[in-house]
Amino acid sequence: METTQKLIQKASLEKLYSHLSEQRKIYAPVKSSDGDVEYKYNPVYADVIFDHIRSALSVKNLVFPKVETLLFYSNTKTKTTVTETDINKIEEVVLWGAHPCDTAAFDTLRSIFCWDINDEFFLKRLEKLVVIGLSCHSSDEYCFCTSVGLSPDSSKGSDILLTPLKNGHFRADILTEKGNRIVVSDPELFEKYSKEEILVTDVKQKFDHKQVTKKLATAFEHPFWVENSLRCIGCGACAYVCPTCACFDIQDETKGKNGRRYRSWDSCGFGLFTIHTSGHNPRSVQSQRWRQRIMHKFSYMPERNNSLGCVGCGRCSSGCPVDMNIAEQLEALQSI
Amino acid sequence: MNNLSAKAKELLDTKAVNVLIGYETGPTGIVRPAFITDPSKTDKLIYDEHCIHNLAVYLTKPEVRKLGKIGIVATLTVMRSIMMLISEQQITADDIVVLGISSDGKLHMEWHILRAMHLAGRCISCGECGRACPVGIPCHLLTMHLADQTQMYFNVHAGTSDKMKSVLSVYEPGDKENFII
Repeated sequence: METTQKLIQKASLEKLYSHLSEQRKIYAPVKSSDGDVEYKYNPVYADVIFDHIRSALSVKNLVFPKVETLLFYSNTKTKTTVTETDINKIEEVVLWGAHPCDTAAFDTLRSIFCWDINDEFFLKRLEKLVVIGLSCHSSDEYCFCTSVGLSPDSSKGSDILLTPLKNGHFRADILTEKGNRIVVSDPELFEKYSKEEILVTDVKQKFDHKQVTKKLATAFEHPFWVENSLRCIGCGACAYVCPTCACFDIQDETKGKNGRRYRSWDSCGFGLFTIHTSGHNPRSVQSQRWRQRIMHKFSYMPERNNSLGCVGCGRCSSGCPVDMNIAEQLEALQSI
Repeated sequence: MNNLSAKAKELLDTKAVNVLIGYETGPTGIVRPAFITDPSKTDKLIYDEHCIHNLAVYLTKPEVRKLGKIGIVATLTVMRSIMMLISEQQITADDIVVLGISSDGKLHMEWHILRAMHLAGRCISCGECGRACPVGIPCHLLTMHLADQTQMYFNVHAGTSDKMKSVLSVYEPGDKENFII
């Protein structure tokens, strides 16, 4: 649908928020007790923050939970009965105040979860999700959305995108049918918009992702990978904070005669991720696994999924205990 | 050039070591582990209160071992880790040269408990696991508690000798049994 722009006054945001939270579960950014920002179920508007740069974890758990039960089973001596998870019980959820890097990541995840077959768990959660994006008025040295084809006010993945204005109010871009339904149910909150100056941060471009993709095509055997991953300790933190990493493991958990099959987040950065039953490991050392991480996001995905596997949120770098800075490495990679 | 850089340069120049593991300041101003193989690049080595990473973690990394003989900048915690690795025969003392620094210079809880049990009698209490966690889970409290327990019941603290045997892997006739349920 064609995008329309409306003005929403700061004072109207609370009304919109409470109306949304009456009908659905609403997730929003709040400060946790230790000072980190987290997106969590939060019906109280007063606790919502607007000035954060990035949360410690991304919001991908709303469409790809840390642990998701796929089916239940029970055994008798002669028979196993399987009960599949009823995905129609998945509830409607509103995500409020997610920044453009995180909202764009939903499209990236869709390109992974639907590249050969459609992952019904992921798709149902995405279908039930309404996204109210929030353009960034501040950024830091870890942000690099402009290097991966996005910007601090890109609307990709949002149903409605709120952009702060110099006059203290917000411009609301109505981007999808889902977004439009919210406007229709609260029309008095969305006023006529006439051009105002927006309050959006500048994010410096650090590398050219097309150049990186081109370089990677012939860089598989380059000494770059070993040299630049010596300090990586393989902890996997980067994958767990990443909004687009989608590796998972599937396990059966049995208690007595009953059990469940679930999938949970995993990381291709772990040695155990690829080890074969024979003991052979095609990615036996960390430098190969670091290469896989970069190759997957910047070479294999553009080629296979027609999308880039990175949204430039900077979490992998800010969360790394040994300063494996991905933007620094990609910048260096351009000139090998 | 500071003493540390000069000593590192000498070790690399004389080929006493092939790689020197220490600390540097990265381009965004963050202190991080550094791997230096070129003697002309030892100037970037630093040591200050921000140098908190336990560098001993790299002594068993295949890509690092492949570089040859290793020199390592070591605080007391790093030295204790090195002794632990030697006592477990994960490394041999001949492979490394230690540059000692004097001391004034919510995912799955089940997994953390499992990890802590594997580290009973082996944790040297450096606290790095807690620091590295991106969401602030203080997992080091579990391993430190187990270190206190092995001290209390076996009078052994990991990383205090390179000859010690892993406390939960050996049986001594004099071992206390009063805490076994």
